[in-house]
Amino acid sequence: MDTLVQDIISALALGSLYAIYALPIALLFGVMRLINFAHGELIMVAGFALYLSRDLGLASILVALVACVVVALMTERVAFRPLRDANASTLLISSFAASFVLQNLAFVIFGSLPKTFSIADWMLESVSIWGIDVSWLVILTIASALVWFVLLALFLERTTLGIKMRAAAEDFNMARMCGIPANLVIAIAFSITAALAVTGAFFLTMRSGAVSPSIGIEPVVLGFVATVIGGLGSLRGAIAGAYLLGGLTVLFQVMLSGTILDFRDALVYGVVFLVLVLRPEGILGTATPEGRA
Amino acid sequence: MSRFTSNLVSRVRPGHREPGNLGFLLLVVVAIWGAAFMFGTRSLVDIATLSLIQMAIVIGLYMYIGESGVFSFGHIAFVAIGAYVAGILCIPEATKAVIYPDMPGFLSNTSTPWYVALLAGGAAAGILALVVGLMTFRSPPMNAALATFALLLGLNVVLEQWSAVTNGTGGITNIETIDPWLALAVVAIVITVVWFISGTRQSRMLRASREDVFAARAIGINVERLRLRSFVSSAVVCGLAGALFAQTQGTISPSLFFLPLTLLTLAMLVIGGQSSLTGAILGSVVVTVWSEFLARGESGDLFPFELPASSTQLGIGLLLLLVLIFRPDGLTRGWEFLIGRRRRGSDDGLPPMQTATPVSREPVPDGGGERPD
Repeated sequence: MDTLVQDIISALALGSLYAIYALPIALLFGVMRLINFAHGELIMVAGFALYLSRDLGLASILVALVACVVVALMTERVAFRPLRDANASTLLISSFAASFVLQNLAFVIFGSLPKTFSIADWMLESVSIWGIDVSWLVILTIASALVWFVLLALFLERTTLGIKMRAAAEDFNMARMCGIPANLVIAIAFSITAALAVTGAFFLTMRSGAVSPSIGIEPVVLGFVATVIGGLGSLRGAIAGAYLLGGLTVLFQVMLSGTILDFRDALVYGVVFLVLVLRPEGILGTATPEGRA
Repeated sequence: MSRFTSNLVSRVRPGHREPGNLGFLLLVVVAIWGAAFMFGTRSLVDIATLSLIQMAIVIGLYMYIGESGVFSFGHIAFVAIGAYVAGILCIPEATKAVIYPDMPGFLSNTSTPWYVALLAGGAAAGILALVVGLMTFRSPPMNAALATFALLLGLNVVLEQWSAVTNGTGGITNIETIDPWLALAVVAIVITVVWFISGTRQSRMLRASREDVFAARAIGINVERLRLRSFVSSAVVCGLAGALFAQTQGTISPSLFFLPLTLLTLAMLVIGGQSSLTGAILGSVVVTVWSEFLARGESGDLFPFELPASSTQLGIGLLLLLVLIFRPDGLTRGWEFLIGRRRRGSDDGLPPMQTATPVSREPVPDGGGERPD
């Protein structure tokens, strides 16, 4: 019984982390049809900012936030704004290029060796709740994901800017003609993804205890997978997809063994392939077939 | 086909009716690489061989991406299949028994001449592409492109984990190598065949659908079927390129056929100009020269100081970004190199047809992520 509860908790923690990876990808796809593979490099930038300012304790999160927003806005300005009217594939190539440039810039600056650090050691300690040991890290991962869901929902439902963003996601050119400032909406969207990248980078580096230039690849692929499973462009779908992926990961870990476990990721990508081809609206059908939010 | 149809197809892009001058393309490729093989030092020959194979991959990409206008982010999976099939077939039997004792069944005691392995590599890639293509070809282009990307990610896991056959992350070594001249001959044949195919009516119809998919459908072009056809044939070319990779390098591993190669080859195609064969070839030459220049800088041969490691990759990424921003149709802008023909205007007396630039305004059917202008 206890192990079952433990497994459920780790599935929730993993799903929360994946949701933090997936939301930015879903958000930008909704607003500007961009699958932003450079998001992984935002996580990497945030990771290095956390590493460089590690002596500041939790205040380093603010440093990382500033650094990450700056880089996100610069990427948007350089790699995506000139191509805003281009089709989705060109944008995707541009995001590959931006990701490649940022990653290799990090290799040039920091070298390829991982840098070990830890901002808050106390998070790795466990507390016992009703007889079950849970680390603070797990609790905070789940909690911060929930906070993000609420904040994003409030922002998109209740604020003018959020409503403008949804309008832009619905029909970008129509929204523009109605006087919605495209650059502002997109800048805000990129800033939100930067903040999510900092959250993701914080928990990722706390889990692994290190940062390296290639740290962003896995999160962005996981986020992409979760987004596709949930239906491209739908935020709710992305969250659902992330928890589904987290749950499946833990389930496979527990149920499968040996050879099949080695091929687990191949199975996951197989599912992604089938979803894209057979059910583009996502497993849960939360996105409309055109992938609109 | 009605007269109207053939008019539209032939006027797809003024000056773009023929797939370029084969003699010229071949001459350039054979001259550059032949000179490198003949006069080059050992390291130059190695670089030239690798770049020749990358060019073959880019030509494979051109056959699908360039002609259909639909992107694929997973073609490197076909390169990997070709490389592994040919690689496994080209290990000498005696070596195989010693190094790869776990290899199952007939693989453990089969080894074939290089040309059989080469064709097997191409065929394996073609079969995989046919299976994948039959599943994806009715999907919106963006979904198909992402599905091939998922294929690449999944195949990479399989190559890394299926140790009995692929030897895992360590990869396969001791593949019997062939002379670079043979590789050059194969690539020259591939270029000839691709040139021939891109002159066929089917290819013209496919290019017509790239320029305006709705008009193409309206005149009865079966766009999906043509896309499937070019998807499979481009995968065969990629598989052959992968087989050549295994046979010239002698060593392959899963990480060689993953995201960096995907980006490098897509960069070559986009930089050269994705909608012409000349562009595919030019792009691979330009990127090779540029990256060699930077690699020399990294090793300190070129400047009084050393460029930091990873400058080469950084430089390729920057070049790709610059081209995407300032010259989104690539260096050739879709032109083929024609000798002795008029490059502009049409000779049927009609004014040149206004066509949208493919990258910025290319219409994508049903929810492919295109926003109406």
